[in-house]
Amino acid sequence: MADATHIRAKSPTDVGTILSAAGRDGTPVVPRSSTGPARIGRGAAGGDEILLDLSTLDETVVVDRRNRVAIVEPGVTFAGLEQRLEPEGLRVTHPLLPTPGKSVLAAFLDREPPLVPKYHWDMTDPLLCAELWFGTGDRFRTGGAAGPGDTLEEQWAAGMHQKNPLGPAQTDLLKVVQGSQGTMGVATWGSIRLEVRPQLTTDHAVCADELGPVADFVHGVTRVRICDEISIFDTAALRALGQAVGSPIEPVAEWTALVRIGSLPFLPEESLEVQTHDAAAIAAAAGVGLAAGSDALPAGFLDAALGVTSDHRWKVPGAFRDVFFLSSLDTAPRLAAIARERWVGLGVDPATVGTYIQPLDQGRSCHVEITAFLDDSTTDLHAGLDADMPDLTRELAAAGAFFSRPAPAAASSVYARCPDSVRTLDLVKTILDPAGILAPGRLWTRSGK
Amino acid sequence: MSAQDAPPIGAPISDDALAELRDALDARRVTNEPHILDSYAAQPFHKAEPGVWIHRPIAVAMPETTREVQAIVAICNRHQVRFKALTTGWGAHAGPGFDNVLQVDMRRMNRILDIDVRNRTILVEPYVTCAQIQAELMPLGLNLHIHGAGSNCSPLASATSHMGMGFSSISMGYMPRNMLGVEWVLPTGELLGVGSCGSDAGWVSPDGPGPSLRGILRGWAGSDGGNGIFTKCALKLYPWSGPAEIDMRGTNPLELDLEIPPHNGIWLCVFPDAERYEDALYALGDAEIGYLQAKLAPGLAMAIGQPDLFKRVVNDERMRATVDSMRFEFLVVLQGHSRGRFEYEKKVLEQVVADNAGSMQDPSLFGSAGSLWWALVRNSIAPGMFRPTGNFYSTLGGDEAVASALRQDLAGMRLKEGFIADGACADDLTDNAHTLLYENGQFAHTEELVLFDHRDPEQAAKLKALSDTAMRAIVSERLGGGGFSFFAGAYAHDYLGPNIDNYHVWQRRVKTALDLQDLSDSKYYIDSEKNEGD
Repeated sequence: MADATHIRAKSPTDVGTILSAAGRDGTPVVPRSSTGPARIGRGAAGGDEILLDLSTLDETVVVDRRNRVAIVEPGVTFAGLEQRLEPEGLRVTHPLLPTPGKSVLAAFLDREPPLVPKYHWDMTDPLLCAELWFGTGDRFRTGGAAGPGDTLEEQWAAGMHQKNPLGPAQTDLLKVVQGSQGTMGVATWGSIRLEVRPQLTTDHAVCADELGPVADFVHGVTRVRICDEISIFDTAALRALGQAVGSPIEPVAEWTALVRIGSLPFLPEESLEVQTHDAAAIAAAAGVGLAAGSDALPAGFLDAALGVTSDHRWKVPGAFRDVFFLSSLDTAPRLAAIARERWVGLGVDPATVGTYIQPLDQGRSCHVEITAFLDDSTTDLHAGLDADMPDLTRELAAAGAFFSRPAPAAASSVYARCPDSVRTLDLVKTILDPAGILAPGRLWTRSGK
Repeated sequence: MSAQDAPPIGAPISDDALAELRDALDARRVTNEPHILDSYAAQPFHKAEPGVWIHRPIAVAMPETTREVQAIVAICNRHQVRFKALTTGWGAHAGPGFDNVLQVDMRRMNRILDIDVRNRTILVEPYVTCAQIQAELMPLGLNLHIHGAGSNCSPLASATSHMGMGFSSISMGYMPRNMLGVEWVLPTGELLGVGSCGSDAGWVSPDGPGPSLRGILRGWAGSDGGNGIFTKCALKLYPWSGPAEIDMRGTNPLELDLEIPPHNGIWLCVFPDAERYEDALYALGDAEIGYLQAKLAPGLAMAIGQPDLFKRVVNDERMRATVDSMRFEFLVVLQGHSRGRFEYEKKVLEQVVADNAGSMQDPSLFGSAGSLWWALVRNSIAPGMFRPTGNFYSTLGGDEAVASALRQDLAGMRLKEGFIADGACADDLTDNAHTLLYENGQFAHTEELVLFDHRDPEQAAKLKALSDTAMRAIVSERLGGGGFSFFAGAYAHDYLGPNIDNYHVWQRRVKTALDLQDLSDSKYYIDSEKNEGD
């Protein structure tokens, strides 16, 4: 495939100009904010397309301690934002090991799963408001950022800090753009909800050979919103994580929940003590132990695994295949088994198939990510797994998996299950991108196209 | 009949259309009996125009199933009849906004379809009330967010169609953000599952696959019946660390004999000035404590709970000053899932209050502490709002940062002063702000309440001027967002839209795409491009 025309946006208004012109010419535009190899391949553009590079818009517009919010442009990475947040005593809840060039805004526009369930109040979190540009070239600000007040400075002076994540008024176009993988609009900044950085933390692991007791523990602590980072790995996934962060680990059981408990801003020692006591009681009731990190994990393991500043790669480009979706925690093992059996049937070594489960929405659901960690020389195997992906997706979806963020290979199978949604998405696409220039062919196929 | 042969929208319903409705439903669930129709038309609440009566529906249909709802909407499309769904709604926005509208009364769809204790979700039909749900949940150790209208109202209506702030917002958020999926009969009659339910994948997410159709279903505000009919909704549930049943005696809701259960407590926290009140609210949010929280203005609380005392206070300058000295306050309920957690939260609350020169007072000004605790847990205060003067109205209400909520508190009082002096509304000691935090203070809400008597011709006539003044102040003083003014329909959109990034242009395009004929009553939403400005 020929290279796309690569255009770097120099300012947010550039984006409007480019989209207006593309709309007139009918030239497809694929926006990309992150740099480096894409894990999922969504940012790829072909020869007749414009690759709209937003990574050059890399300003952190504001970090506001009092209102616990930051506004970031698309080129701001997690590591870059972290440098701004740490001195302010703030943090952003981020996905597992974001790549060095990963855009904060792109991650949250794609609803990537953050690691702290208690701060995940809604599937859209932690993205609050955004400045959007539609396929028409029109600019639109969402939520509290819509105003009144034409500029951010005017709004700040009136105590408005781009915190209301809904609206404005009786529609909510950010929700339409979020998850759209560039097909409904382009964001040139977004406000991100932040949390107070804990002064003290303790690390723990909860291990069992069946997911059930681990799930009981996770349900228990997320229900009452204690514990900070909580992520669950099977043995293969945990080994891969250890390898990625340069801290080899030999799991002691089939399933391990990595748990970090952080102090709260007031009475930090006591808050940590109370949370740890309550978490231990919940673990005991679940029939598992809340092991201290120093006993169960290599030194510094969680610092590396939960961090954003390293160049650790949880998945090496070209050397894995994965499938991910949402489900309930209890359904996850059954769905993971479907993928595993299918891949093993296609020749994958079962020891290399790992499952990572990220509790979301305060523990009501979870992101399930099943990965075949492969040798990058096994190209025939890669091709076989790629060819099977639509069928695997269909089987998983029929078993209850919800593909909230369809990867390119999964999209056709996913949208085949919801023709009513597709008809309605067509209507919305006609409003926001009447010329159909935004990432055409991604996700669903428009009627008549 | 084809749509081309149908009478114009707004014409009286034809005998044919009525006959089709009676065929589609049990004939006893469709009526155009005038005395029944009148019972739907008395809606004096939140009505800026004078008078008790709204538009009388042309007929009423009571579906029992989603299929029947689809049939009703299809008939309305064939015969060009406007329709408007009603659940537990109290207020003009729940009824027809025009003449000749079919009221679709959802009261027969009143079932709790599923409670998933482990994943803390519930699936409900439109006429299920919060009180009904709460009674089922407490024995399971669960609770739900109850929106400001109170526990006698439908959480589905709040999540899909209106707003959703309440005392529990600090720990349970905003009702529309509690939605986990919706079954939606579009204005054309087509059925759409929003989120994972649309892919037969349960109720794990309201968004996707890919773009979220939640964004056209509603915004910060809902469409109040202007965007089809919602027939099922999954909602999030939260922990309840109290008893399965509350042991209480008495019938006066303000003087119940009940003991506040272990690991629960209620305090009135009062601060000396606006600055320290604002600081305390920010600190409370940072602290990640609190189960229920809101400012319940002292004048209003007294007017509801101790009306005779309130009448004396209003006419006594010294007593007014005393009550006014308490205006920077919030009520807070702490509930710990363990003794340790409750004791920790209590210590933190004491520190937050002390750090800001505040005091923690006995809340008995508002009634007995036990009664008040239960009133907040149950959210049963809203009906009492009608007690002092017969009616009330809300202004401002644009949700944003805590600082914006405080500016709205101060502005609301200032806006009302002249209207009170002019007799346009009751003297409620002027301060009647209702301020609360969402999601550990991530954003906040203030509405300025206005007490008035809709039976008083002078007050009823002046209410619109007060409402307009508040709407203009939202723009001129940048008070958070459109708030309650969004529900004034086209009139408000024409004013607010150009000042709020032209949202009305996009909203109208969404309406047009989903309902070109404007059949889903758009009075409190927005009209389609076809009927723009009619």
